[in-house]
Amino acid sequence: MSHHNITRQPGSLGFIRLMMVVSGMSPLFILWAARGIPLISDRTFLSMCAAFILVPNFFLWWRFATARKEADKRTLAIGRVEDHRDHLLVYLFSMLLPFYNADPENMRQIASVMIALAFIIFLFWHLHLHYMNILFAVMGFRIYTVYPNHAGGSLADKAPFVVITKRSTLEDGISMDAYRLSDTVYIEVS
Amino acid sequence: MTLDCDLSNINTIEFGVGYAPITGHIFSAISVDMDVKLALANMVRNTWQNMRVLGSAPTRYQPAEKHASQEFLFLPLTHRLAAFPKTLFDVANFPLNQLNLTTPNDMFCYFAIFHDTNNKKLIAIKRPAQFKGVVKSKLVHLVSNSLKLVSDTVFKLDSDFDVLVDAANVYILRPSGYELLCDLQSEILRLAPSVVSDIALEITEINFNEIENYVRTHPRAARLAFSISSQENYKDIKISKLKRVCRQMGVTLRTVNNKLEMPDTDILTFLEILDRRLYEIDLTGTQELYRATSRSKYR
Repeated sequence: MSHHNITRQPGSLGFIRLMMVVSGMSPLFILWAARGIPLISDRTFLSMCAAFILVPNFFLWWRFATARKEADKRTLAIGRVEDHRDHLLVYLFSMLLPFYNADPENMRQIASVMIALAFIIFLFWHLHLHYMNILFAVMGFRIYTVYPNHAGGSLADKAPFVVITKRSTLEDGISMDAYRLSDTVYIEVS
Repeated sequence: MTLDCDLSNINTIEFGVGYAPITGHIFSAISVDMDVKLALANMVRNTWQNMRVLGSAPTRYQPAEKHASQEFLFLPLTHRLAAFPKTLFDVANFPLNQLNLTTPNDMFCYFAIFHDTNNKKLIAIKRPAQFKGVVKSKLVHLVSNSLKLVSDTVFKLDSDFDVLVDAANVYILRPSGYELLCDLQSEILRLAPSVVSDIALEITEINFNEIENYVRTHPRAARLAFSISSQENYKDIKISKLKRVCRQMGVTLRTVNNKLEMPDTDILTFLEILDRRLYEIDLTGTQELYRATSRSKYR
């Protein structure tokens, strides 16, 4: 038996996760579009902001529609749960507002803001924080991090996952059906 | 006997594969599309239908029995020989998309997890002889009126599963597939000594110490031990009748320290006697002795 071929993969749907991260930054692009930048014409800048808002959100919607069409859902056993509404506040105050406050006066400063944004996007993507999206909060969803139910011992999944749901609480020991947005983020829709 | 899970109201379907490297079993759920899910649903319904064709109710799996290639058998999920399916059934969430599927030859099983609308769970397991067959063969398909080679890695799903597992029982369609899946030969050899010591607690007139050692390395004897312990009335054996049958079948019994024991060469025959697999029949005035590799109670 060729053991070297049994390799573990870090998770799939990388492009969708990237789109979800950028989708989560829609409020920033909306604020930028509203404020504008003197160095770039409104027509160009608004078009860019619109693209950064519409394209990622289209992919988020497309991913969700595909998951529903393919019945890409799992019955998840819920273990210990943490309510992470506070993550959205952390995201707002530590990420969104500083970028909104950036007021580039020349092209180099614009470039440095873009590079900093790219680093943030990469970090969010790499750390699987692609569920941070005010859109979910606006639609009445809550975000929970679920730590594995250890039933099944060494065979069971050890990695935590995120559930986006409208439930006000999640109890340890229940099971729920949720659609897979990515390998670590699920959304429960009735 | 009905399945705990309602196959006509399936709510979620997941697919997974199992590898068996030296370090131990690895299982992963694999995301699949709707067509595959429908195929899996058909497979599990076919499996249950094929089982019901073989019998309205399953008979208990007996490790010492010579089973046909397909039979409708069952084991309670709490049974010692159902440890592997129980382990699989108890897993809350399988890791998802965690394995590189480039070498289907390394897989030892694939499985599907079904939940019905009442959240009742069913796992269906297959030992995929087909994976190897497809990888070695060349597949062609029709593209624009020409036959072209299929270059992608192809996994072929079978028409049914070998084993179904619900919350109460393991249902077996292919006994040999089940034995390979669970590595039952090794498991039987490992557990047989404890089974023999359980038997020894009930039949105290026999010294089972040598038998306990014997079954560690003799698969046939180990299977007989399991079969004996599954019979309800093995505790009611009359020693006088046992001695008579042993004499008939050529088993040499001697009394040592108030307990009966036999030489190693007679242990297998002794276990076959306890398991009601050796019998005598006289139709011609001559006593004929037979061994039954497969037997079921007539009355």
